[in-house]
Amino acid sequence: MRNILAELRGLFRREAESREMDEELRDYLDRAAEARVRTGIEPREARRSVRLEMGSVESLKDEISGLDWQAGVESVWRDIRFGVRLLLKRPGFTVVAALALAIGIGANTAIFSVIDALMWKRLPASRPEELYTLKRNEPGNTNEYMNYRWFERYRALTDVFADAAAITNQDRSNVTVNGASNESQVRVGLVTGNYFDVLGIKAGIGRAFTADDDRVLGGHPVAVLSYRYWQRIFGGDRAAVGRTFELNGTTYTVLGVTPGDFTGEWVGRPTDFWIPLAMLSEVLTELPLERVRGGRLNYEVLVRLRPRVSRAPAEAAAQVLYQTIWKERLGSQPELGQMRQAEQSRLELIPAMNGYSPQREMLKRPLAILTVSVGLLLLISCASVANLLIVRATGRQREIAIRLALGAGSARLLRQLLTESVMLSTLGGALGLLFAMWANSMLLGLVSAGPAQMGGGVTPDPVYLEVRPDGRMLAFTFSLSILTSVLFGLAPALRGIRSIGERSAAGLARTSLPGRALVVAQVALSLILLIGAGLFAGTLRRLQTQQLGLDRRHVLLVWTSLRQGARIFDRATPLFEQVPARLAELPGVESASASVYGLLNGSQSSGVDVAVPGRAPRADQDARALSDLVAPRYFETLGMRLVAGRDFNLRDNAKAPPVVIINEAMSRRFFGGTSPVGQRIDFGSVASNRSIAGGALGGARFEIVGVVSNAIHVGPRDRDGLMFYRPYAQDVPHLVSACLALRTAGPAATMADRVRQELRRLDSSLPVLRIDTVEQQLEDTLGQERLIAILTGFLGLAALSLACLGLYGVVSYSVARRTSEIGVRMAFGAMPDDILRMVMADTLSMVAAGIAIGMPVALAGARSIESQLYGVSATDAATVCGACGLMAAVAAIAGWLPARRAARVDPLTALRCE
Amino acid sequence: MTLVQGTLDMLILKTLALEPLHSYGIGVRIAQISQGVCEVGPGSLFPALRRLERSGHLSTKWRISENNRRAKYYALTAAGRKKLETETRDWELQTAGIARILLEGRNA
Repeated sequence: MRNILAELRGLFRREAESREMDEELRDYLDRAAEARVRTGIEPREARRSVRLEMGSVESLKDEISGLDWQAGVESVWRDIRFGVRLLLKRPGFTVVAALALAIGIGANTAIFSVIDALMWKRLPASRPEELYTLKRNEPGNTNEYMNYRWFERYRALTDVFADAAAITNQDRSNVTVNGASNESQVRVGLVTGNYFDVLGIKAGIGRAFTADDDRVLGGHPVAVLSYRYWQRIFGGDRAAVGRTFELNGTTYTVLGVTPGDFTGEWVGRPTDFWIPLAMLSEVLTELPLERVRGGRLNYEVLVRLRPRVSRAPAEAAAQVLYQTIWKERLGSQPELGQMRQAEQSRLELIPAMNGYSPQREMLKRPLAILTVSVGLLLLISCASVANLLIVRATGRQREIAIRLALGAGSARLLRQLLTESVMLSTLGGALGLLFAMWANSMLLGLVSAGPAQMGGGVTPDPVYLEVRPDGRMLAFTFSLSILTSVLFGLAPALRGIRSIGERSAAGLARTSLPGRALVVAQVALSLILLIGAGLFAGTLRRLQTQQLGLDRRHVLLVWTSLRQGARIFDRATPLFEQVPARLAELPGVESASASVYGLLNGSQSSGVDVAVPGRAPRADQDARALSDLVAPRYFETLGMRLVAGRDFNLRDNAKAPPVVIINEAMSRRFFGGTSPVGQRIDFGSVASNRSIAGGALGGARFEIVGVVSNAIHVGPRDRDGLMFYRPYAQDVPHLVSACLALRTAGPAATMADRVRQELRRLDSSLPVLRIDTVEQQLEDTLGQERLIAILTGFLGLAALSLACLGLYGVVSYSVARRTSEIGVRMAFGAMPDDILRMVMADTLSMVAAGIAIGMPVALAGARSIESQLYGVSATDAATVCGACGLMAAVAAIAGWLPARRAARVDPLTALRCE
Repeated sequence: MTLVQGTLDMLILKTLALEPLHSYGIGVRIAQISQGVCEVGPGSLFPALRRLERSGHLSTKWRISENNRRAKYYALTAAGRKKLETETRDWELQTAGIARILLEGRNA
């Protein structure tokens, strides 16, 4: 400690020490010289020889004082001051370079922070590495969840699991606080009482509920609020604990509020409040009791391993139980297909320390595309700045040469030059951080884009993330800045020092070769980004303008919720019968109908296997079809064509024989040219079991009564998918939601208010979640595509401008260096046009080389994004040519400016400069 | 002839064991005693002195020298004396070992 203090004092005594050192060295020099004089050497010669031996006094001093850490600190400080002076001296260079770096670093930081929030952040639970979720992995079944009976059996595996909690997240919409009802949807976590204990999360205020709050069915009307919801609804009032709110007619008491950083185990879908699972029937009032308690509801199961139990034995134990459950499900005489399915099924333990999110899978591709894009952009930024540095370093050759001659070591100089790079990139990083915060809001728009889900399907919902600048983000930005500074700074620095010896040789080279190579690389990289951006823009345009198979302008869609108050079945039928009939009577409405799922709202059943007697689908052909339950006149209302057969009518009810209408795609797949009307099909588990077993389908249940034209259903890309429709009256238990459809005479949007009023008049308790046109719904569905197109377009343009900046720098520099050569040429009779042509040829040769390298790479890379494209091939000629053309045109302008300057060189002035 | 790695510190300490000296004097003394076999230039002498001073093996003092000039004199500290002892012992052990290996080679 005393040492450190002494050294610190030393820092302030540097001057004195330096003088002392000078004196000692001078003393040494004198004595050595005197000694030589005594051997008969002339005094001046003696001094000279000793000096030679000592080498540079400066470097000796540097070496001696380099032994002290304080000197190290001091010299770095000196480098920094020197660097600041240099950067201030060239503000233009500094601003351009810092901005170039800010774009590169900022874009990467923005992507990082979103990926971090979605994938890598740990749950604020205690020992999160012990947490796992159970996942069923069964061929032909997309349901990964558990029912309650299974959950109880896994929980009993106490040798490996310390505890287990079951969770089901439900969207509700009729919350009443202080007598005021809240229209917006809330997300309710229905969880077993031990949920917070399993996670090891304590309430921020009040208390969390425990297993004791989950004993009596219907007997624990208590809730724990999330921090966000508490802020939003109770304004962060600490007195909220103990107050009540109402949900579906039951009054709940607030027990506590979770800490601010906990939004539930499902990352990207924040839970608003948690209620003990014993209150399930009170929350999900629409489900019949036996269905809830009988456990057909899907639960996510969160387990905590016992201390010192690793994943493998726990998974093995769970697997044994899983196979036992399978055997029980199949009974004593399972079919062959079922046995095979059981054999191929596994139960997996998925680490849950980072939480859980089905959207990770969905967003993997878009985020990967963006990660690669911003990586390329950063490389381009680095190349631009490296280019600027090379140009500038050549201007600094004199300074560097003098300092080398004065005895500064090249390691010392290298450190100095790198210090400048680090400062530049730190500046860029700081600006980049600001840029990233702005870009984040856009990115969060990307991940939360997509239609809000109205129905009860299993399609993943949009993601809601909160990204605030935190330590991890800062650390990332800082490390990236350092890495960047090495990337762009090292080569120019080394070159600057090395080239001193070869100065005369360098003078002969027309332009700097590394500079040209960097420009070529920049052009190539930008071209890759531009082609990618073009492909995404093309995809978006195709999706927006494609034939939907239905009328996009004259259809109004009205989503209602059946999950309110009363049980659904008394309620659903009128929505499919009387309500459309009344709406159709409104002036301006031509026809009205209804379906369960509606269009383009992101929700849908996962699809079912279809089987047709005597026509087993080929192994390579997908026999999965989507389906919907519809009211009569549905196709007419949407503007779809009935190609053959008849529409449903009111006689197709529960007592009549079951019928279906299939779309043209399905007709073609299963019946080829022949008419399917009158044929029979079957679907669901019956179909999949039999087709796996390879047997013929006996008395198939459903008769085909009609064929309709193809139309989009769930998403903008599925127009030509297999689809069939059934009359709503023949499957009342599946009427989980309802979407009314109206065909209007004028533009659909103008009817929205009128329809809303009419619905309120018909049934004031019927919630209208949303009224939208098909056109608007399509736009919402395309949110992800649109944002990918916008972001890649933005990145592409940024890359293009950076590449042109690099090109401009290199050409200007080469023109400046060749001024005298150009003067000579003109003196010998070259016309300005010749000079212009010469410089432009030089420029375009670099661009051509960049395109020649970039295009094959881009085309190869485009294959990997093929699945994200629609209507454009990955090697779309128009896009590729357009990108190349744009690149060449903008580059030509960047090169033309300095070329024109070259053409205006006055030969006399140029030669006088020499 | 270049010095064996790491021996310069030992030579300096040994030289100063007799009496305090200034930097030039140290270099001259090493050359004299070794009869010109070991020559230490300023390029290695000054950093070595600085190192030893920093590590507390040497103390320094400005004094008036024999010809009435100010000079920086270096002297051994207690720690320096101890280091010299251990270094000498280690050196003897090492050279004896090395000598045995070299002689072994010659006899064969």
